[in-house]
Amino acid sequence: MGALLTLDGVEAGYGAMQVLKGVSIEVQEGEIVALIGANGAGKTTTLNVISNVVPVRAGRVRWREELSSGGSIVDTVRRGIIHVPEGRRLFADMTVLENLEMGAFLRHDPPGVRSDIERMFALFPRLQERQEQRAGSLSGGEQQMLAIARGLMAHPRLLLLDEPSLGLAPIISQQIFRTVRELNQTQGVTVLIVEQNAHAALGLAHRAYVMETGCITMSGPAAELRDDPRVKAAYLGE
Amino acid sequence: MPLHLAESGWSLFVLTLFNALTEGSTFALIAVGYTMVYGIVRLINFAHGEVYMVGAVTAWWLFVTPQVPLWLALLLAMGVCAALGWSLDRLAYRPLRNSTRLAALITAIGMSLILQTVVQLVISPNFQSFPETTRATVKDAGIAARAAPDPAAAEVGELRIGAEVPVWPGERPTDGWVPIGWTRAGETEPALAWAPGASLEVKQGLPAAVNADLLGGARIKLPLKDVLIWIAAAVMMTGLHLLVQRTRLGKAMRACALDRTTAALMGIDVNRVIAATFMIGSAMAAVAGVLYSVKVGGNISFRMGYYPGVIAFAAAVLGGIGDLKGALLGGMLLGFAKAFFATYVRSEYDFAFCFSVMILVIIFRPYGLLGRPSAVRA
Ligand SMILES: Nc1ncnc2c1ncn2[C@@H]1O[C@H](COP(=O)(O)OP(=O)(O)OP(=O)(O)O)[C@@H](O)[C@H]1O
Ligand SMILES: [Mg+2]
Repeated sequence: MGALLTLDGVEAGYGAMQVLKGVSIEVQEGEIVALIGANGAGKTTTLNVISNVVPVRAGRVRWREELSSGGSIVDTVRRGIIHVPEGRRLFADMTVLENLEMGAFLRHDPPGVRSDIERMFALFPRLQERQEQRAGSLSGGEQQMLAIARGLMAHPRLLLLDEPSLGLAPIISQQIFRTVRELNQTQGVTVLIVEQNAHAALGLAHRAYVMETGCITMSGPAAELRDDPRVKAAYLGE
Repeated sequence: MPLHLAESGWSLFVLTLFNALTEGSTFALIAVGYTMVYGIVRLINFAHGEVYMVGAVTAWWLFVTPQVPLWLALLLAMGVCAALGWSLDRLAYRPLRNSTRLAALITAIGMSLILQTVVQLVISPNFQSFPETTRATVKDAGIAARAAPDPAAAEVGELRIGAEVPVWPGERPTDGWVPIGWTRAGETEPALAWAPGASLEVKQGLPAAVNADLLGGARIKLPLKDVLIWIAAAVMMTGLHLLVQRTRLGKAMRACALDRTTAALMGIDVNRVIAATFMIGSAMAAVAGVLYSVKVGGNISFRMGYYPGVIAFAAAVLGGIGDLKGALLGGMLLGFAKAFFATYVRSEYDFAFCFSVMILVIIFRPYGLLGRPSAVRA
């Protein structure tokens, strides 16, 4: 059986700058895959290529064996590729509730959307209390919860998470990681997660890729990478 | 007769107030188009004044040539302008979406010139207006005007071929007979008479109801034409507010205004939202163009979009570009500034005064009255 998502020798960049220099990644259905690496390695760019925010210059991205690079962002959303971008990117002037509704923009089952909003509120009770508040007025942790909840409203088949724990207190990031694992285990959501906190990411993921200046330098089961001396030295601070 | 010669004191003030509301409503209806497009695309659509012009010209042409009713001419003009707004975006702006702002700006000015030239070629460079009254031209020789719609009725005079007679308001044609105003021998005022419709070519004018005054005092009149503009502005601004706040399209528009890439990540087709924005703003400009031309008369030409367009742009900037309430506030403020300056100071410099107001506000509040320094953009 083919992979859910395949990146095949992907090159991408901005202007004259080449950022991704032939990246190949595979994500199987039902997996949690982590992508770790130093600042500026190209992790965000990789996710942007998958969701067609940034075009590929060479190589290809395939979704269930079908070419998906070269299309529009909305095409990827229709396939169920839901990108929760770095820095949350909430609609700051819209309410919490409206942000959740935007997440369900392509759905046409209002009762289902309403019950999903209730589910999000059950998952993140703080959002329920603040549903009529402007998203921009939420705390950083609440904003991250809302960004993830907004992504889940679309019923993702593949959830792309870019640094979901950035700037969060440890307790809150643990809660977010726990939520991701639950979603994966109970609802079978496939996850590709980019994380600064390599320790947490390797604890959560089944498999991981290590990226250095636009190239994948290591990959394997997360548990093995966690014990790799190079990874330990570079990313786990041990 | 200019206002300041005809009136004085309290009644002058009230008439100026009515004028201010009319000008303000017109500017606000146009300003909305600038502000919505800027809010989402960060582009000043300098051809927007021309959309207003095309709206007025289209309705005028439909009214005098195929002689459709005024309300239908208005609706069709809205449709034509919506299509024009869509085409401007599709042909001129969308291909430049990722190029420099200067390129889009120059294109906007180019589109503006093209539209002016095309309209000038199509309708001639002369000023036109919606005819105030319905009139009929006599096509045949030897036709008699009669006292009743009946060939046997008493003859009250002979209609010369080529003569133009007013159609009598308040009477409907019956059995192929058209009611006309006819000044009988020895009379000074025209009275009702009837002429055979087959020998007349009737050119419709504004309906009597539209020409009526809502308040008809000796010194203070409130023409229905003004009230129509106020009602149109109130209804359309409220409708737009509800659309933007409540509907799926409106929420998509707000999302695109805040962050286009993230809006696309929600599955929103940004290009379609932008096209819809152009269409809505253009239809509103059409309403302003038609109703304002019905009100003032004699202003319809390829040039008519320039000043209202520029003032409405100033209104949008003054209110805080990107903000719908700001467009309303800015439009009203400049409408009041223009009308009161024209009445009480110098009518020649009213546009200059509007710009001075805008410049003053922008010096002290660079983002406009309701604008905020950081539009949330990545
Ligand atoms: N929009 C852009 N325009 C130009 N250069 C960019 C843009 N986005 C990223 N870059 C550059 O591309 C390189 C890779 O950036 P990217 O955001 O993919 O890194 P990252 O691995 O996500 O880093 P971090 O861990 O800091 O988020 C960086 O050198 C960055 O400066
Ligand atoms: Mg990043």
